[in-house]
Amino acid sequence: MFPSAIAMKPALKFQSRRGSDGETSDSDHCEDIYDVSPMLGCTDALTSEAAAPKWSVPDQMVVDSPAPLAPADPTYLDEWFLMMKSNEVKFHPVQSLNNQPQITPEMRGLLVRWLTQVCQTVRPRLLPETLFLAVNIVDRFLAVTPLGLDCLQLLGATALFIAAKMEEVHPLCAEEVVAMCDEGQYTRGQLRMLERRVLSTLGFHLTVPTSILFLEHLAAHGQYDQLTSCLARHLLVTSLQDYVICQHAPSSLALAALNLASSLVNNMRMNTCPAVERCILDLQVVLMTMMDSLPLPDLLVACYQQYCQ
Amino acid sequence: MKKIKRRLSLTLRGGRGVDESLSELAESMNIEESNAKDNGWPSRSGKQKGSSKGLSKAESAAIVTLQPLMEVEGSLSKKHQLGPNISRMVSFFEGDQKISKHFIRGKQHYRTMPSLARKSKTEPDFFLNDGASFRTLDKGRRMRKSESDSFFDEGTKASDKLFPIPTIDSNFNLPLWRRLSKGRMKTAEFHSSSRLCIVHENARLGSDGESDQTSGTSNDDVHSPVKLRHKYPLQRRLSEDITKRLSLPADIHLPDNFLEKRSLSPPFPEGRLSRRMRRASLHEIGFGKMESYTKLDKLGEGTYATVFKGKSKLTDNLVALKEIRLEHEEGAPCTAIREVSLLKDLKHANIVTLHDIIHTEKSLTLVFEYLEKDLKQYMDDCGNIMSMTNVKLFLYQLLRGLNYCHRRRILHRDLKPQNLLINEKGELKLADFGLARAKSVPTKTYSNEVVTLWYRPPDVLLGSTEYSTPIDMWGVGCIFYEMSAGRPLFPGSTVEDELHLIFKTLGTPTAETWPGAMTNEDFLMYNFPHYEPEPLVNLAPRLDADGQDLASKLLQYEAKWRISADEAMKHPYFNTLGPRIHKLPDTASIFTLDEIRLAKDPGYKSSSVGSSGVGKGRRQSMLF
Repeated sequence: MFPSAIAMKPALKFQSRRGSDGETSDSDHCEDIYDVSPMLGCTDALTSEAAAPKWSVPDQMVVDSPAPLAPADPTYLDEWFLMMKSNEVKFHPVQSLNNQPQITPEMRGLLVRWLTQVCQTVRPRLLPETLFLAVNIVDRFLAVTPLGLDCLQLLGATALFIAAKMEEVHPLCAEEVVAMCDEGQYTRGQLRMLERRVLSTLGFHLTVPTSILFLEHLAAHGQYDQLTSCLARHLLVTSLQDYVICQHAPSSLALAALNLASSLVNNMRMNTCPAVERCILDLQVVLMTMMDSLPLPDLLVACYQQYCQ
Repeated sequence: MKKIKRRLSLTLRGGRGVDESLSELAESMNIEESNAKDNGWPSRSGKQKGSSKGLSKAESAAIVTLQPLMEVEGSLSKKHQLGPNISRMVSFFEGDQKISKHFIRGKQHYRTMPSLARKSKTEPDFFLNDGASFRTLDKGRRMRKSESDSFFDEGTKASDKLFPIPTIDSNFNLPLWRRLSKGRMKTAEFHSSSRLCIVHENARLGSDGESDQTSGTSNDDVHSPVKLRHKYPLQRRLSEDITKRLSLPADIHLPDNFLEKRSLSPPFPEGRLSRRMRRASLHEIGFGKMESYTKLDKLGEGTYATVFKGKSKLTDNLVALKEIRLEHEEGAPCTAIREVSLLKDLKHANIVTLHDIIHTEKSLTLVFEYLEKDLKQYMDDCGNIMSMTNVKLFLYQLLRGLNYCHRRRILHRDLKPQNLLINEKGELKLADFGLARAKSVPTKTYSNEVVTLWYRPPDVLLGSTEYSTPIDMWGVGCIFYEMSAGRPLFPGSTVEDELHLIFKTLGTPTAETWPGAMTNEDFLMYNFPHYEPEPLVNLAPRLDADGQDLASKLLQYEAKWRISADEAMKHPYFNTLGPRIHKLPDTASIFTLDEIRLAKDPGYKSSSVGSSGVGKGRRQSMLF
């Protein structure tokens, strides 16, 4: 069965960083696992250099080979990345629903799905960072404050409202946010009040390293092709809905998503630490369900249209 | 036990007016429940708590809910039976039957999801109705099943398939809660019974003792395909929990007075307080309350904020109170949210310290440390002739603070002398992060309506929205010049005027000096005359050769070529400050070093010492 083939037979052959042999190993592997020729055709059509393996392992994430850090970057990227990584535990709630009397992971999933839809349908579109921050706000708030089920959507809306104020050039206005919710359900006054409560509960800590930030950083630095990073982005956005996947550290998730995506698109994988491997296993199931409904070439085209245009 | 739970759930629906609840929520905002028992993020060990503990947690924690309130009579007395804390429960709505109908969650009525193994090609009806939720995952099946579905029109863009447009979705307009409860509510009697057990229906809260039961039913509970695979890890985790629990002594119940005694001694001997506890204790001391501060003079006023000089009753220190009115409908303004959230992460000797935040319904007040003047005023006070030593010290401190921000990828985006505050020791601090933002991704675009015109770099003037840390470095160059020469470098009045001034001084860009401009439409449209660059010596004759070299590196047209704050600090211009200055920890002021001394400014008028602090227009720029 083809999706599980990825799981069973990971192309764990470690690619040399500037592997000129990558080309050949690439082609024999695809015959091996399953027929990806339509997919490869579509990558060629979309990205001119998709076939050529060109990426390097992000140094920070590989445990086996602690390579020296890149030389001092004038834009401080590496330092920032490490700083974010050291901060991620602080802002990543684990088991946030443990104290909730009424809210279950399924309901959280439904809420996140709704948020995702809102982010995609509002014009102009909201940035993925906004969505990720909003979900993070929801999780962190739920971790400390028991919430009634009938307030859950209001919390989602409020989180989006706050996240948009942080991330967007043109933030959402309160009226818009209230209109997004079920008709007549909430008022602007309630939105403002919950905003105040959320901000004070979170102590205004809103510069949060979310998995999409790690992904953008890794994608920009690791020189993945666009198709890979689009698929990885879509994987992350979709897996936001899953409570259990959200228990993984954001940085590991980001690397896992990229890794998985590149194993599909370019048929390449790299060695990673066990935490990332666990994420990959979880993400594979998400990927399988996605491919179950949409064949891979279509999925890639859809991702590309969604995130690169 | 069941009785208690029942009572609890009754109490949870205790009758209270909307207004009462609202005011209570507002009240409880000021202080988090100090008696809530969680420390920070709940850890996995939270799962191990016994059922009685779980219940007491529910009692003590405030539940924010809009939940309809049904039974009014008798609830108050029941409330007290359960202890005083339950009265902290907050709710907004009364008697909204519409919601209560959908307020059911019975485990046995979870929707089941077709398994991943493609066993079931058939799916429950509600998937078709409830498409919005499962569109992404069920596409294939649905396609086979209903070809006529408008969603799969040939013309639909592939990207729409990923995230369906809700308007096409028949169910998007349904209340989320209806969707939540869809497929669960089966019978009327279940409806009525489950209303009584809103709380204890949930295994997570009430009963870890029943957790094996939970995991048993979780097969049916599975709701998203993604969850199926968690069956195994979940069960494993639970069994781990059980073994852990078994290793504990059988009776872990402690007498109440024992707990009381315990609370006399510090609860966390390692000195680690949970966030909530910390906040509660800070609140008790007086943080977060307006009463702790006395307002003195008004320092300035802007469109939505007023700055007062104030005094803290807690520490007797002077503070600056930036009061942001929240009259409009949009809640806290985004500038305030950004400023606070960024400043929370910035602890540096050259960045203004945010002491406290007072967030009430009417206003958001930020309490900053008080500094006597800003750089603009400082320059005015010394007749625009600063000692060159002080120029160097101020520039170094500016770069130091900026380097700290840039390392965190925070762009200030509004550097100007009015936003650089200086105290009598000569410490310079960056202030007003209202326009600042964390810049996470190199490719993201931002508004180009940032930075006061005089200090705005040419690339942003020409409409660039893809900027990064160099955006601030241009402003540093302008400020450096202004300190040495005693007048602003490019005091333009419009964008075109500003560009004209820049090009007149530094020369019209050529392919060598600014390759990027050659393709910029705005630049070509303006059609500036050709100017030769003026030598910097003429502009700032008091600046030595090293200083001129640094200034020219800061005032580069091409953003990539501008020197970074980190490199600028290592520039030979600062060699005279000695080597130790580079090794200072972030929070140490440069004046902790003996060799660093503020010089006397030649133009300084001693008469202006006292009055300068409350000068007119002081710090006005902080407000825009």
